Amino acid sequence: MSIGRLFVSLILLAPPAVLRAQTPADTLPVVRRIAPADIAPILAGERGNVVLLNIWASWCKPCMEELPFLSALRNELAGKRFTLLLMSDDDGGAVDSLVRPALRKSGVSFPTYNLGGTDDERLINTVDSSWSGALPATFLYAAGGRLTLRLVGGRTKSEFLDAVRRLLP
Amino acid sequence: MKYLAVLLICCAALSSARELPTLKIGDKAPEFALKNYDGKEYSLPALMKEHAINVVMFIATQCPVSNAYNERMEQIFETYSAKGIGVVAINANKEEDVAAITAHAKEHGFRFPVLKDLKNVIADRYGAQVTPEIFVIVKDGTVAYHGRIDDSRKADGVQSRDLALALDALLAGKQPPKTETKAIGCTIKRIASN
Repeated sequence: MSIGRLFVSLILLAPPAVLRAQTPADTLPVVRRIAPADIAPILAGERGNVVLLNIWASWCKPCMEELPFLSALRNELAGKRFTLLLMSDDDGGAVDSLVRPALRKSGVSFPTYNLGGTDDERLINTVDSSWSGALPATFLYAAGGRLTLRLVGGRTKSEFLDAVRRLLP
Repeated sequence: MKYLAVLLICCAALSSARELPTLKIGDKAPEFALKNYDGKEYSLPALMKEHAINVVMFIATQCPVSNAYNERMEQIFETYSAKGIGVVAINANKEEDVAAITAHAKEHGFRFPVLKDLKNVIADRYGAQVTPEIFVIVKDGTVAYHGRIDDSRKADGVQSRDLALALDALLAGKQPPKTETKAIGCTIKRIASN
């Protein structure tokens, strides 16, 4: 048997899960697993830009409603000194099954993060100790890195846009 | 003008207007008189006459986090009602009516009342933001514990049973080991005028 035929045979005999794992579309957008302690360095790396940090989850209906607004906002502000950070707090095991499909459905193609959903209190106290923990939650940082606004509950694109534009040069 | 706008943002409260101040430990718990899904009225003064310690749980029918705790809330009721503690739930979500609350309570076999907080008046007075969110009210009417039921949305991942620990301590006449805790949950969906 030639190498080519052997390869085709192996592909045909492979279980569906193996074939699915090899589909590039399934691994996009990139979702990087992080811990709450990683948030500060990520924000520090964005100094100089106005940053909108959105914490969401696939199980949260208002989160899912506002994700397309955020994605559109990022497109609208392309070229400005602006960064959108999306961090899902879904279980780490749900990245392939829930997080990426939710992102794709919302038009998100850029890299995002997953917090794993296991250390709520540390996450809350790391981001903003005055935050109740209610999702969705969006935090607006000025270009110098100072947290200036917390938006809890589902918001519209114009609410996000107005808040960001006030801080853009 | 641009600088004025920046200054206004700097000086404004960090939170958006939708967030109301939450009761702090030691604050007097606002009274309420709300109807259970079966029509019976429950009031905080009446509950306090009956129980020295009362657990008030803000819950939801549609919130996956609140629903992850249905069984654990029942366990809290079973364990602590037997020790004389009152347990009531309040649903303040505008999208969840009495019919939905009734079906949900029956489906999950809740033996504790689930009171409907129309127009989220009581949620606003308590400053409840999230479901599930717990307030423990003691004999003098003050809040002795506020926050989460435990530290894991998954029942098999619990390491700190914060509400149970607080109740055990209060029953023993002690301060809870932690009086305030937090957890990720669903925003309470309020009426638009608030």
